[in-house]
This record gives sequence, structure tokens and C-alpha cells, in this order.
Amino acid sequence: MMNANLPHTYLQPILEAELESVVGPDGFRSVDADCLCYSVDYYWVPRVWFDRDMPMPKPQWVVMPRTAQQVADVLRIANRYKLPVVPWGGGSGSQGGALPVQGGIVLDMKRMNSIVHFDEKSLTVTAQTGIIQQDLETWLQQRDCSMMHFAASIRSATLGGFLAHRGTGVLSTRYGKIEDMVLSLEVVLPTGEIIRTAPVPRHAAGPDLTQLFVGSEGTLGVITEATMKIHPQPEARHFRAYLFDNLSIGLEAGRRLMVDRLYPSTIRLYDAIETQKVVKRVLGLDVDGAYMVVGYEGHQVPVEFALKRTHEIFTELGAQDLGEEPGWHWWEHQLDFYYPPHTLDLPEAFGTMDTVATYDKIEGVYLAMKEAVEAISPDIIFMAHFSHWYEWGCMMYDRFVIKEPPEDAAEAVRLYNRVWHIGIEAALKAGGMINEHHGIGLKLAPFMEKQYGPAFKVLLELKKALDPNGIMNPGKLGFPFTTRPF
Amino acid sequence: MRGDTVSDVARLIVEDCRFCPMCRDVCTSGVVTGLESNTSRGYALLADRWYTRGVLPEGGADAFYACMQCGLCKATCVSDRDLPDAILTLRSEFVERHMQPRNVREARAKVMSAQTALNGASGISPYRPELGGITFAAGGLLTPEGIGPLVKALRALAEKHDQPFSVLESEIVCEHMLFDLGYRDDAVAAAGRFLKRLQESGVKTLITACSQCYDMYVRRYPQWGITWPEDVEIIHLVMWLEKLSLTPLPDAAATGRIWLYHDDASLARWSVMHDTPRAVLDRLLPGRWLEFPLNRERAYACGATGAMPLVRKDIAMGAAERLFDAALETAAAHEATPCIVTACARCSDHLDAARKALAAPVEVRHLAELAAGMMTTDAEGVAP
Repeated sequence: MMNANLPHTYLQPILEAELESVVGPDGFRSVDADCLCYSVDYYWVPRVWFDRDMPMPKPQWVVMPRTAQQVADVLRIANRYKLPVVPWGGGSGSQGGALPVQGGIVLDMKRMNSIVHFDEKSLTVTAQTGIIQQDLETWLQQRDCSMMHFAASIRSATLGGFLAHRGTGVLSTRYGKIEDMVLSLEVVLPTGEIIRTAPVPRHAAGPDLTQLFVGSEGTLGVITEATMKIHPQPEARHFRAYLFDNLSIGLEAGRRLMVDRLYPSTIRLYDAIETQKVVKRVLGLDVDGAYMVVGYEGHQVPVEFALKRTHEIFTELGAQDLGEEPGWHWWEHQLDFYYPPHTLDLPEAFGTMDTVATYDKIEGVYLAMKEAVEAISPDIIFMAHFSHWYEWGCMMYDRFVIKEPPEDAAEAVRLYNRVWHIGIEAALKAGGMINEHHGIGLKLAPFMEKQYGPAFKVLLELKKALDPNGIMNPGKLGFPFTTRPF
Repeated sequence: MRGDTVSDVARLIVEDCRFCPMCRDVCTSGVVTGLESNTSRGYALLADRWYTRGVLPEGGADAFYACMQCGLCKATCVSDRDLPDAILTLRSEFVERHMQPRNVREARAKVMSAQTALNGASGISPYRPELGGITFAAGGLLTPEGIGPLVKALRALAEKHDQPFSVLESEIVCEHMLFDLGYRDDAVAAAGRFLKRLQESGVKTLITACSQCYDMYVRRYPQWGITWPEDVEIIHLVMWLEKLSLTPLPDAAATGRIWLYHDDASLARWSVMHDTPRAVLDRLLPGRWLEFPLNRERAYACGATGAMPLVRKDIAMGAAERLFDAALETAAAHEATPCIVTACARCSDHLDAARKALAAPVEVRHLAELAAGMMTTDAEGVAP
């Protein structure tokens, strides 16, 4: 049976010497202070545990590799000792995906932060995945390029972290999610083999292995290098804000832009509560209804056409044109929502469910979740904005907030989990997908079988085949814990 | 335990830090080591343990001595929280409770027993009141290799502009270093001794070539309850240089070199002086110097601050290496040797030592050396 506690104490120094010999003394840590810092990410539950001084899911060892070969060597050692290995990027995940709940080794990837290759002709960049996304973006912008992946966690999350949980950014409606940006990967398999997926994402040479590892949350291997699509800086960038009478009209307006194939860079539609509370608080705009920011970018002529056509469609739907200024204001303050003093914080209990569905279902999903979550208690607020749009549907960034959760930590966590279960059940029943860009981690693991049905067996069998000892990030993505969690 | 273990100010800073990731990418130590406990988020988590539970996990004190005090987290913080200051408070608490790591005790002993490096620089005239009220300060605790060329540059500049030259001979103990290590009482005592000697010597104007010293006199002394004497003017060297009639460096000195200005942490972030050194550079090297891609308040730290070269040489060297890499990359298109220019003596001393240790293909110059026209590689050249 796998257990992070080695059966004989004499094995520990042997193991530690082995790990240290792979990454060098400066790449290996085992003292409490270093390990403690890997016990909390951006998931609400460990933050409560930490705040209330409850037992934390600490690793026994922190290993910081610099190369794929070092990662491979560490995984071989972990396999021999049957020790859990949890890859760690920027620690900004909200689903508990990087928490070492069975102890073992945390593989901190941040030293693998080199830019390996810049292909100006093909507009691609290849980088080690421990690079913080903001650093990669800054480097690209110095060359008049951009990955156009502007997530709220850009200053903390690593490229590998985004790939591991299928992250997205505020311009995804035009440029896609991270899975649309990736061409190719280098991956270290759980058993230590280093592989490269196909060099390009469009081919007819069988299933796409790149996409097998994207979103695998470190359960199927460690993504060590990625080749990403990049873009030149656009000639024109425009934002404009509109106000709709209600969410339903706003959803129809967004759908019309997408099915008209106008390819906006962003559509952010806020429901009535977010318009009243969040937009007012953060952007200082006091309006009622459903607030929307729409953006376009690229060459000036098509952008101007798209703006004109948007205005025509929105006028047909009775929208109030608020002009460019509030649109730009949103762009310039887009991160303010997620940082102090505007971000949600303890002692409040809060969660972001981010559900996605096709246009025929999305409003139904919203209404079903809102009804189910708010029925739990009058103290719970459910609100949403719709911020990543596709030709076929859109994503709902729906959040619940419990202003005064129970003081007792166990009680608070119980209520928190109950809201999640009820909300997600309602989403599934209404035809929604349980997550769009935050990943599964620990939080949504119990829903994976329900989400996939018999198809989950395919994922399970893949996991067994690639990771026979179950060492990689146990308990995440709905895969089994090998032993009882911490 | 809340409030018992750290000062209220430090506690509030830590309490207000919600571990948001806004400063993760800028934390110099975190970038160098890659370790979570060496990031601003890690410090905040550990500090939270300390002030809410009154305990530190094993290795906690060591972690706090990885902070470089570069101030980038404060410059980036959306809540404008001064985490570096809270870390200094924590360090002083560790010292008070004898919890400081052994290398910190050793660093203090080294600082306290330091002999003036001026002895190693030939031809120095220690401060002589008969020469007038102006005196120069190179900076305490510099290496003989660092202080020698710098003092020569200051002398050349003074002589060229008909100003009497003498240097402060009392620069032995670096209060800033002691303070950064957490030895506040020692720092305050050293500051008191320094000021006493300064006043006794009759100095009217002190021109310092060290940005950390300048920051200490202007910002820290008042925080320590020490009043800078009203009859002594304190000037950073760049402020003095700005008033001189400087001429552009000759082409011969420029051949094969491209200059980059390094905003040191003290001047750029704590003293918020960005334009003055640039104005001086514009006159010395019109159109011939470059900015680092990240500059001013967001500039990379070089590793000289926070007593890093004494307690975490690995991080100090790592930060310098990162700066060298940035210089090489920025200068790549110019096919010339990058020459990093700084207005801080501690930075030039540290960067020069790091350059040699790492065999980095870069040069390092203090702005005073540039102004004095000292541009040969052995720093012996003098302005034409």
C-alpha cells in the first residue's frame, strides 16, 4: 500500500539522499516552514483550515527540478518508494488541485522557467512550464507579441498550471482557452519516460495526445515544456459598454454576436445582482439591468465593421449604449475584481462554480442553479456573469457568497460543501458542464463520474495504464486516493 | 497570542495580506530560489502563524532571512501593504528572542568587527575640517575592491570641479545592514555614534554615493527616533552630479560598450528618485544608454539589499545573475558589451563581485566613475 510515511525510518535518509542527488541541495527541502507553504492554495477550504489552525495537508518533501530529466528521475524514485507526487505551479488554483492531501513529494516547477524557443515566422513560443505567465507575457510584449492569455491569476499562475487545468483569460472569446493555444507538449510520464506529443495540433495521425495531458491536473504525468501559439499586437482594440433590460435579453445579444461570427475579443455580461453590487462597487457604475462590456480587436476595418454591426443588433434588442469609456474602464480595471479590497475573502464563504452550456440551455442552467442554491438559506447570494463565449454556447462565472458562515470551521466547511453539491447537481440536471476553466481538483472530484457516466471508465483505465502505482496527484480529477487522505 | 509577538503595525500588515497572488511574479528571492517560503505569499503565511499562534514552524526564521528587502512586493501590492517592513519587524523579534539563525549572528559579528575598507584604498584623505564643510561618503562595509575605484572617482570629480575632497573616515559599521539583520538596538547605537562624530567633525554637507545610506539617513533615522542634525545637509551623489557641468564621455570610452541604468531598490523604490540619475546619464551619454525592460519602481533587484550578500549569498548571486541576463538580452541587438551603471555604491560593489564570480560578460560602473570618466577596465583611467 502506498503511504507517504515510509515503513522504516532508516529509509527516509536514503530516499532524501536520492532526491537530493537528482536536484542538488538547493533544489530539495524538507523543513516544516518550507513544506507548510504548500498546504494552502486558493481553494476556500484549506484557507479556512489554515485560518482556524486545523491540520494541514503538508508534503514531506519539496523538490524543485530544473529539467525534464530531473523530473523523470524524481518520478522513478517516487515509483520505487510508491510515494505521492504533486506538481505545484503558482499555488493560485481554486479547486485544491495542487494540495498534497496524501503528503509525499511536492514537485515545485517554478525553476523550470526558461523560454526555450521563439519562432517569429510561425508565431510560436516554446517555454518550460514553470514560467509564471506574466513573465512569459512580458517577454513576448517586449517583442510586440502576446499570448493573449490574460487570466486573473496571470501574475501568479504558471504556464503549466494553466495547461494542467484548462485555464482561460479575459480575451478567450477571440483567442481561445489555453487548450486552443497549445501546439505541442513535452511530458514526463508517471513512470519516468519523457515524451513529446505531435508538433502540430491539426493532423490525422490518430487521437490528439496533446489534449490528453491538457487538463489532466498532474494525474497523468508532468507537463514540462509547451509550444504555444502567439499573436502580434492588434492594430486596433475597442471596448464598449451596453445595458440590457434583463439577463435574458443580454444572453440573446451575446449569442447573436457569436452566431453572426463577429468574433468579439470579449463579451462580459453581468446578471442583475452583479450589475448592482459588483459593477457598482468595482467600476463605480450605478445602473440597473444587465451590464455588458463587448470588445473587438484586430485590423481597424473589420473591427469598425463589427462594432457597427454590434450596435445595430443591440439597438434592435433595446440596449442602452453606455459608450466607450465604461468599456475601457473595465479593461483597465479588469483585475480589480479579484484583489483586495474587492475580492471575496474570509470570513465569508464563497465559491465560483463556472458552468458552461450550449445556448439552448445556458439560461436554464443559471435559473436552476440560482433557485437551488438560494433555497438552501436566505443568507446565500447567488450571482453570475457570462464571460467566455463560443459559437455554440457560453460560460457562466456563477458565484455564491455566504456572508456569515458558521463560526465553527467544520460546520462552515459542511455548509460550503452542501452548497457546492446542490449547485452542481442542479447544473448537471439542467444540462450544464461542471466546470469551464478552474479545473476539478479535490472540489469537484466527486462529480466526475456523474459528469462523464460510463465514459469515466476510459479516463480511469488511462490513469491505470499510465500511472500503475497511482503516485501522480492522488485523489484529484475524480481518480482514487490510494490511501486515506491526510 | 494575537498582537503579542509582533508590533501592531507589522501584525496589521500581515493580517491585511490576503495571500493574493499580485506580487508573486516580482518577488526577487522567490524567483531566484523558486521556493514558496521565499515568496511574499510564503512570508505572509509564515508570519500569520507567528502572530496568530505565536509559533514558527521549523526553519521559519531562516525563511524570513531570504527576503531581499527589494520592495517590489510593496511597489506592486494592490493594498499598498509594506510587507518588507513587517519582515524587518519579525527579524528584530527573532533577535530579541534569540531565535535568529546562526548565519545571522555571524553576519552581525562580521558587521560589528568590520575594519574600514578605506585603509585598502591608497591616497585617501580622511575628513579634514580645514578643507571645508563638504565631505563624501562612499558607504560602509564595502570591499577594498569596491571602495577603491569609487573613492578615486569621487576625488577626481571633486578636484575637477574645484571642490575640496575628503571622505568620512568613520564609515565602519553599516547601520543599515544591522537593521536589516534585525539588530535594531545595534543599528540605533551605531547611528548615534555616527551622528556624534559627524557633528564633532564640523561637516556641513555630506554627499553619499550609497543609496542605502541615503535611504537610511532620510527615512530610517526618523523611524528610529533619531533626528538628523539641522546644520548638516545630506545629499545623494546623483543630486550633486546633476548640478555639475558634466561633459559627454568621449567616443573612445563608448566604443564597444552599451550602457544600461540599474535602478537600485533604495533609490528607485524607497527614495523614489528616478529622473535625477537619468538626467545625469543623458548628459554623460546622450542617446547612448538603454533602459532595462523593467525599470524605475519595477526594476529588478540586484541582490545587494537586505544583508543578502552576508546571509544568503546564493540568493544575492542569483539576483545579480538575473540582472546580468537581462542586461545581455537587452544589449544583444547592439553587439556591444553591456555596462551596468548604478548610482549605489553597495550595488556596484556587489555586482562587480558577482560579475567576477560568475564570469559574466558584463561591466559594472558606479555613476560617479562614469562622471569622472573612469572607464578603463581596471578603473585607473581618468577623465581627459
